Amino acid sequence: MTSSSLNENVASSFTEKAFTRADFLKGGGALIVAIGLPAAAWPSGASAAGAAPASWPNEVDPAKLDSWLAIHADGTVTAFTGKMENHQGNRTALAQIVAEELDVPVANIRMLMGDTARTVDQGPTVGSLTIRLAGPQLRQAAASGRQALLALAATRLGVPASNLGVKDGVVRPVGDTSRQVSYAELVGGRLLGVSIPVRGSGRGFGLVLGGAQPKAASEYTIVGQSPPRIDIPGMVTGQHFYIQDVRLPGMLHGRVIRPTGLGSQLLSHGKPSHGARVVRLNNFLGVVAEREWDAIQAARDLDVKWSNWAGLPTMDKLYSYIRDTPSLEDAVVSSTGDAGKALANAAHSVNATYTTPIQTHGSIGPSCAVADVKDGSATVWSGTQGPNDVRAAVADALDFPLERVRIITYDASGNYGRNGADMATVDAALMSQLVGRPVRVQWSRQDEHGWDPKGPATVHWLRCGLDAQRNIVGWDHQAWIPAFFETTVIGSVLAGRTTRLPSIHLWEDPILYNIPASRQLAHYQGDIGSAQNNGVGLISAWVRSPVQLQATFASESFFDELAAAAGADPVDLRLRGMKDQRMAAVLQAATRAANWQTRPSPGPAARAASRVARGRGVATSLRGGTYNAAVANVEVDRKTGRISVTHVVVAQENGLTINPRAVKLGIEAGVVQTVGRTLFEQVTFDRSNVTSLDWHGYPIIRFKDTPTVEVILLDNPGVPATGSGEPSVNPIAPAIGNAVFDATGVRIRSLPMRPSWVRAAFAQAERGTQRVAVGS
Amino acid sequence: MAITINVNGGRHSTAVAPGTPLLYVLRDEMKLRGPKFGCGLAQCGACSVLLGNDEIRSCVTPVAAVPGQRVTTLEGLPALHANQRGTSAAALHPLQQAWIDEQVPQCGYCQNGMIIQAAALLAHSPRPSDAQIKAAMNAHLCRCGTYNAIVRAIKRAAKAMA
Repeated sequence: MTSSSLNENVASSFTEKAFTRADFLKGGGALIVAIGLPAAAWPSGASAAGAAPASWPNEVDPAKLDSWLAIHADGTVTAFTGKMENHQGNRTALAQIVAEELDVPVANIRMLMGDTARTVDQGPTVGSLTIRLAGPQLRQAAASGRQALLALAATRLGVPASNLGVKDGVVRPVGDTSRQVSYAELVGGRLLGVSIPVRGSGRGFGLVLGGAQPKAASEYTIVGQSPPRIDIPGMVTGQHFYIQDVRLPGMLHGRVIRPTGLGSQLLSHGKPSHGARVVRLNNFLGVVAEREWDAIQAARDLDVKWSNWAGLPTMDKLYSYIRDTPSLEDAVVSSTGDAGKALANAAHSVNATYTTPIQTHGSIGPSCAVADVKDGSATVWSGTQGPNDVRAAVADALDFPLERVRIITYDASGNYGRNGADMATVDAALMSQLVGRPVRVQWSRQDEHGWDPKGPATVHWLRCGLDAQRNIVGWDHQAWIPAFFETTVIGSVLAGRTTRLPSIHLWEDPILYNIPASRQLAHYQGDIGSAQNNGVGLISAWVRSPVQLQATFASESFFDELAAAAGADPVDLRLRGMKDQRMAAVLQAATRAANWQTRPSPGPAARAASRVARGRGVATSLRGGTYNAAVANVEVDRKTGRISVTHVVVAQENGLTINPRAVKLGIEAGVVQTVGRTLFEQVTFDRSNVTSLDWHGYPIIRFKDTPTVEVILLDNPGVPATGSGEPSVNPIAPAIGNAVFDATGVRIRSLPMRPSWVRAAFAQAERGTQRVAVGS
Repeated sequence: MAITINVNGGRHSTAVAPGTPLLYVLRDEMKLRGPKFGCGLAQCGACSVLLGNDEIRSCVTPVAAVPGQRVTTLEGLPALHANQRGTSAAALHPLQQAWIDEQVPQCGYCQNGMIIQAAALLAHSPRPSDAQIKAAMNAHLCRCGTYNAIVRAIKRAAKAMA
């Protein structure tokens, strides 16, 4: 088979002249560089960029096995996935799943992730859906691969496939060690040419692969073990490849220059310094230079006049602004019985308002992208979570057909949601188109803090009805969620070529308790300031655990208020009404490990006179089928208002676990991150724009604030795997707030729990204006 | 006029303006990928390198400030360790090995600075307590929240180097 006919047969055909699919199947070293595995050489994008005009298929065909797997002549296997690493070990876990089904060592699997010309669209890497949804897709593809390979081996060895076994990629008849054939000998370097039955689409997370029967969980020898992550050696030696490391021959360094106000118009600009060139399209402004430091200085020094714009609310009015702005849509998220009637007829009622601030993704490495736009096609290297989504946005912004855009991803700095990566990708594409050369756009720290889409502020109003015996009879949770159905791409807006990325606004915070009548009502709203600027306000995109981190802070804190009002132990009251035994088991595991003492809150510390009060709090959550419970221990300095989280126990049950050690380490880190979001993180802004533009203005958790963390992972391999990146962050903020209440008797209903706010809550409680008991 | 700097045991001459931060010479000219751009403000530590035995922020250190002194990046740690011990170079510095053994990174982007700062710490204080480690490392930021794993890895490396 010639390489050209080979190309035609490959769904993920790649049309570059520099590489053929056949070269790739042989396991060429250059491609290893391109796919981001550790390599000594500085990468050259030239080989992957190839000659123009280039075009690529609209979609890599999921129904072809060759879209998922390549068996190389050296016995190694490349597995292709449209998913990204996203920092908690997807790369390794997906490799384990493939290795398990194929019976090859994990070390022999290479993962090629996120290239729109070569990987199936499995949906963006969001929502802790990779192991849950893409895992089964790759498992099924690998099972089909094994079946195809065994069929070939059966012919070769003259033994029925059912009598063959595989070990380390070598097929032998069962009980006969005299004959064998390896995968490499069977197909190494050639296409498998097998079709897989598929239904649904990866874009809507609905892709389902059929065909061969995968192994039963009871047969697993690789899945469920904890091999070390395959990317860590490169990370600790400077060899791991990040998007910030991509360089192309002839490339210019670009820097964006953003407006002073969200809606400011570019009035004029002066001449650039340091030999840089100005790049401008309407309000889209930047500089390019041969040397990076020259571009940085030129962007800093350029004299630019913007019109004034002041359409944001003031910070102190943020929550009333959110609550008072008419919503785009109201939606009942869940409903049981008649909550309104139950509340009206209740013997007692309790209500409280909770608020959460705007937070930023806060990536340590600001967003970066490199684009090579020429001859009517664009190859763009991106740190996106959603290569297919950003491909469409780039095509839109450049006014190119989709098949003239290819997105190649590399690992990015931890993003925890849609940070600036997609925005910088479009910036780079626009700049390259405007200057006619490859351009690398590296956002500055101020760009990232100022212009990454912001995790939106939320307001929650909770009401509960109790009967005469203090049983909960009604529950109503209304949330004002400045949610969004799309994320606006800022560079495209400024350039006058507005494009938007698909987004999600899913409020997932199931009520875990048996309550006869309940309702969750969402008031979905536009971005703040959008009404004052043609629909483009402070652009929003959730930070880790969309809506639920906020909603669970409110609901699990409020439940704690009910326990306190009823004089009940917070764990007892939760277990009494808990609907789901998996949830109960997780809660019991966490409280057992935390040596939970059964008593109501507030505890004895709240009545003591000491300056530092200690307390403990508990909370639970269920997200995407993953169960969590957390117990937090805190120390509160009554004088300064400073809260120290000293220890957190978090328990999780996520069905089958692919790599328990990676999951536990991911949970530990996520808990630490969330302690910081609970205590410190808040975007500040004035009427024009964001004002928290660096790590002083937007503090995150540091070593000295870090609690010890104990993670308990409950084994449940008979249940399909659910996600792990987001779920365990959800009970952290309410567990901390409940612990502060336990320590002091004062309820903190607003994040972040900064000392000044905590002192204000103490003062309010002393004046008796903070409602902590049944009333009204 | 060319400026010659000593990086990872080798010499590199650069023609950039003297005020250019060392980071851009390391990354853009020398193609070293250990040091990372994080803030350009000396706030996060992603860009850290060793100057002698001390951690510095290469994003705010002019290249003209370092000639005559030994610059070591993440890539140069194994050789530095071997030189200091008078042994032949291993593939990994004990800190790098400990980072692998403890599976420290999530995204990995900040870990350059963490390992560099840890090397500086252990050069001055071979058996640090948890509190000493946290104090010495506190000016480095990790968005992923790997601080506890880092403390474990530093203690493991300290033991291995004892």
